[in-house]
Amino acid sequence: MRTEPPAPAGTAPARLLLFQLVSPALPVGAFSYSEGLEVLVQQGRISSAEALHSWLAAELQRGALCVEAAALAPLQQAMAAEQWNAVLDLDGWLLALREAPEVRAQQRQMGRSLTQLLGELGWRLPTDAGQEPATPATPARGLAWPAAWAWAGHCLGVPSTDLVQAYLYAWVASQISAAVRLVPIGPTQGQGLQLRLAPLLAQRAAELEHTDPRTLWSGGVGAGLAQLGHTELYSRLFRS
Amino acid sequence: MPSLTIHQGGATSPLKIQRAYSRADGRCELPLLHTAGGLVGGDQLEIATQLEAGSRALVTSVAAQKVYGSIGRSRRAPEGQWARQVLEFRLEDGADLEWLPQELVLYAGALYEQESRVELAADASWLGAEVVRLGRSADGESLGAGRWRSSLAIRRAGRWSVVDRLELGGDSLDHGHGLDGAPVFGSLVWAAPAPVSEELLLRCRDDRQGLVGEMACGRLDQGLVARYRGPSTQAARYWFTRLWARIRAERGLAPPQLPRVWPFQESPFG
Repeated sequence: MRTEPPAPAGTAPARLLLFQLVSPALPVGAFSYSEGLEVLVQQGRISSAEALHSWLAAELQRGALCVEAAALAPLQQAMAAEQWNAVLDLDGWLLALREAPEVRAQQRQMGRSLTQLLGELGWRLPTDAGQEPATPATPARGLAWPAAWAWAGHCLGVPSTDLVQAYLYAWVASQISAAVRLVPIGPTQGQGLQLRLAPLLAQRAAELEHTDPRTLWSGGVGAGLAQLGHTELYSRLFRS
Repeated sequence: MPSLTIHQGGATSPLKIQRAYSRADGRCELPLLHTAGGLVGGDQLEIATQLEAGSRALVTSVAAQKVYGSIGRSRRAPEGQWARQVLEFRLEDGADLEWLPQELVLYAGALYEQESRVELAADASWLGAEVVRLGRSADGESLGAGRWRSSLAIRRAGRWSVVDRLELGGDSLDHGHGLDGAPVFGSLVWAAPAPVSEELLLRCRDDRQGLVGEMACGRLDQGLVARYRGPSTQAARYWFTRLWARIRAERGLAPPQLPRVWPFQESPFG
């Protein structure tokens, strides 16, 4: 379902809209989350650009991130077909895949922010897309981050190949930005890392776009431990 | 006087249900015995459990489960064959199930995949704790080219509450993003009928005292998850046993008594 798109988006190339989506200026608060990196840096496990590269490559190859990226195309298709039950089912499944409460809170907040932003720009989620009032037992539904990203792709008319690439790119950029603030690497090293990961990122996007997310596995038990451990840090810069 | 839960049903070889035992609180304790002495590639086990409204059960296993190496063992399938186990749990209103099998040991070159599906009514409680050792590490053996997979899918009243799609093997065995070279991984999941307090999590973290390995836990929207990575299946089981006692207390139920088939030499409660 596409509600009346705002006029400029109707005529602008999808690529320009994609730039807007991956821009750090997108007001979804990605900068406040480290997804476990803060724990790893404090533990001394990630103390160099090399170690960060190895960690990010591992997540791109076999982390929970891959399951989310693979879910984008099916989410976009379900949205185009107005199959909201399928959208909400996959959205809930992806969120349940994240064991750490801080990461689920991150995905809910970022997803809600992006959905609200799109709504204010003229693309409102249809009311039958499961927006229920929040109660203590069932926190506000809305869409979590991967499904909100797919919704943005749907609204802006971004092809799924680009959308999957952009999802991985934005994740890598956000992790590098967190690492720069956590000190183990400098900004130039960070840029070098983003460049160096580009071929792997492109390869994984091409593979994941055509993979059923429900058949994928995650080997990231260390990532899960780090994310669960964040709440125990004595001092914290980040919210996950 | 709590009501007594009794079990009906049976098993076919190689699985056998040992005599059920009724605890003082009425909970049915059911020990499962795998009579074949280990799984080989191509084996398939299926365990289906249904709990009626208000019933309580503890299902455990009589011994650790071994999974023998499969890769390179047969000329017909040199790439190896997967041993699979499918677990299905259906819990009606107010039912309470504890799934606490003894540990799984994968030999070098073993391929093991488990699929657990859990369907919960709105106020049912499901606790599952599993520990796996990848390779007989005491003898210096690693998993080699073997792989372990565990899929867990818990739904409550039709909505997803916990999903795991874990796979350990290859690069994830030694990389810090995965097992970081440790031979043992453990996971405890409690899908609770209501949200739990942060204080419960603090107590669960205190329970790590004196145990080796990395342990972390966190709140689920309803319940909690705890993970272990380290050198010792005993440390993992001790921690999970302590969490089991915490969960019983949180639910206002009788403190757990160790199943008679468990081999602990000393009290895990510490």
